[in-house]
Amino acid sequence: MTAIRITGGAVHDPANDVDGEIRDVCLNDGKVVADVGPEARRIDARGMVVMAGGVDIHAHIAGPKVNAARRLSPEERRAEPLDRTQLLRSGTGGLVPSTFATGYRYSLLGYTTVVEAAAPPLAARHVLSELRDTPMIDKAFLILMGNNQVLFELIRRSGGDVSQQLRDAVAWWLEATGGYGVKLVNPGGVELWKQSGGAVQSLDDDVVGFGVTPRQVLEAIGGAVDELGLPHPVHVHANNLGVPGNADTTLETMRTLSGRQAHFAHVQFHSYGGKPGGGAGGIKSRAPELIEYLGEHPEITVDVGQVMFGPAMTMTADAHVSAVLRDLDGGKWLNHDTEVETGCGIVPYRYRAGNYVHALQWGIGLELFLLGKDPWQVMLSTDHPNGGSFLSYPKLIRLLMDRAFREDQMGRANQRAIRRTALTDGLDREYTLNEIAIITRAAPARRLGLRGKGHLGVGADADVTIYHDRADREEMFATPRYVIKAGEMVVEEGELRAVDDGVLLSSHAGFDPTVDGVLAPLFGERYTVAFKHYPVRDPALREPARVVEAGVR
Amino acid sequence: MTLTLTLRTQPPAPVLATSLIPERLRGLNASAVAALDLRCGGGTVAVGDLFEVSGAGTEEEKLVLAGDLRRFDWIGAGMSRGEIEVPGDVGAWAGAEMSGGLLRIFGDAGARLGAAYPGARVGMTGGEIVVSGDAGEEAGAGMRRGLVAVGGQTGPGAGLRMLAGTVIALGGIGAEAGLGNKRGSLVSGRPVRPLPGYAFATRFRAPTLVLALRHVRQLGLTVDDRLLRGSWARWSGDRTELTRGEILIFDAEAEETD
Repeated sequence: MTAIRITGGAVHDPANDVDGEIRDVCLNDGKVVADVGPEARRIDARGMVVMAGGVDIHAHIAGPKVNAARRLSPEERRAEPLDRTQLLRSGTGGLVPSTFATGYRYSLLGYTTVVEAAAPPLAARHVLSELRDTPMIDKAFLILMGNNQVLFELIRRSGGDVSQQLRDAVAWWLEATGGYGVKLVNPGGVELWKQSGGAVQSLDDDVVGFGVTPRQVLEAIGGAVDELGLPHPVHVHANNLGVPGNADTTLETMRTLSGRQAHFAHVQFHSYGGKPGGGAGGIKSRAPELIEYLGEHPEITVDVGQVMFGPAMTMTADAHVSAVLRDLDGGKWLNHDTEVETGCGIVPYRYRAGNYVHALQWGIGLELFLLGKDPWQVMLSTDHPNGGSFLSYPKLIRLLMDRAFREDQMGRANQRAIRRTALTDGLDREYTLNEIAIITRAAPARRLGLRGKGHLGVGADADVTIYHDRADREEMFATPRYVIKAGEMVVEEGELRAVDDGVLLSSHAGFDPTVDGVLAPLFGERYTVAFKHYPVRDPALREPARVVEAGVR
Repeated sequence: MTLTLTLRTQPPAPVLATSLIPERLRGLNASAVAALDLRCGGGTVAVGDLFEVSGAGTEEEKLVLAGDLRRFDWIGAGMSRGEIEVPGDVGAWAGAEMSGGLLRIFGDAGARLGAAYPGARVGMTGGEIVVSGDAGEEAGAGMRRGLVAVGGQTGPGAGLRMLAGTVIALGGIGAEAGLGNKRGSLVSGRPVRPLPGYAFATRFRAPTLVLALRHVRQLGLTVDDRLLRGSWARWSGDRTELTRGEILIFDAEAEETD
């Protein structure tokens, strides 16, 4: 591996308090180093911006729901197919590209680490298989634990407290699957919908038949993750996504986890006012309240889940949400049950600028970004591909950095909606390059507990993206001049030059192996899969991996 | 001036012919057309390796594709204007997602003539496809507007999930026609048993249909005078959808009692 010296670029490394300073960045043996010898390859980055490789904290790129979306919408995958070359595999494009195309295209945007944010643990083999075939990026996945009947039973037995058994079970599940962190999707609510078609009205509703409440699930699993000290705190998709008035639920969920570290996903979809059960026309923004809460609670972080006008593919473990969307849209819908663990729904969708609700969602996302006081708390995501493809990140960055562009886009959206957001109240904030570096790499990496990612300090992974400093920020972020992954030049001038397989990022927390004796009978009563066959052991699926130990956060 | 491509050799694998439409060949001379690549199996092949090219591409005028083109799929797919004439047979997906212009096929057409791409709700949105021979299964699937007229028979599933538009099969529409049809018209010159989602509505003389049949006769299909004079049975459906579509079936017996 050759040594590289990047010279003359304006370095934006907010994790190390470097804000646009012209300085050299030296790389050797896959790491950032203090210096390299004169034989090192020199990259002239004068007039360019140097950042760590991008880190996506919340996207959907692998596993059964992603694959099901590919099968559900073959027509959509025709967009920009990828031809095979000497270096690259062929692939399909669109909102849900094939695995190889996903890796290539993330890399072409300067991203080097991506988290698949919702994997059914039972489908870990599938997730791992697809991630192995997703090159160019290091990848991790979060496993779904918010509607798991076995965990429900352990929570019921402990009366909602964090028991030793529960901590061990959470750690066992990570070990069994290769997962990196824990995701709660509509805790209790998916199972409730699966059993009865019902929805969670309050966090204290009984999940009928299981003797637990959403609040107990939040407290017990969130608490277990916290006590285990996993590198990434519990990652929450709160109850009542998309429902008018759901800001109450979101705030109540945040209060429930108060004092514990937690990350809330795609909060744009959870920041709505209006009457529950009322019409969509009554929906309004409560983003300012959420931002205010975040200001007082540094233990909570969020990613926004911005919607971008145009086509999207909604895919979620929150099967109930998909059923509702299907009724709005009348088009294709796929519903899938993963036994014992979770649900899944997929609906192809389109956000229209002229539509009141869609324009409001767009405005709320921007409000969250622009009102947010601490960029370390409010991270960039479109909940790819739910709010739009990851390929729309450059446009989103331009919306944040370029007020004139933003106002032009606001002018094209439904005005009744835009007037009901804070965007028209002289919200003239423009993100700086350092703030963009925070919300697209530094903060996600820190929140994921990935110490080598998201910064350019000595010892960091040699994942570096170099952009032309262009006035058009969309163009700038869409076509990095260079991307370096693990010390190797992989992208130059918008073209892939080398392929890096990337590694799987897993986490590990110790647990008492006798938890097997607790879990085996609970599995036997519920799963069609034998307990002994459940864990993924195949080294071909689990390696190469980098394991982050718990307890060092 | 007409641009004529005459097949010299059969391709080693099925060919994706989407680029062979007048609007994409506009302004190209014969050698430029010959140099174009076509997707053939997993690789590509140059137009000139398969076809003798004569003439030049102009937008207004005709593109003739001559030879046995059964291994050529997606002929005329996506075209929005101009005319393509094919003296022989074509493969599947001819005229798929067409939005305008005329695709005239004198031989047989394969499956999914003028149809929607797999998974897509909408197929053809305009233009005319006229086939002298037979068509394969699911002709006009997902059609929203336009005309598919077949001199012979269509295979099973014609007008599948059709939104609107017209599919005419003078030689008879195949089995299971019009499943999930919303507002489309299917026309069968021979008796056919409609799906249970269709209900018999009436027997009538159909002046608009006569206009349509005269039109396809002008485009070169052989239309028996009995079809112009006679009576048609109208079946309404598909009742699983809006019940605003129809299947019109020529009523030969009614004509005899006239």
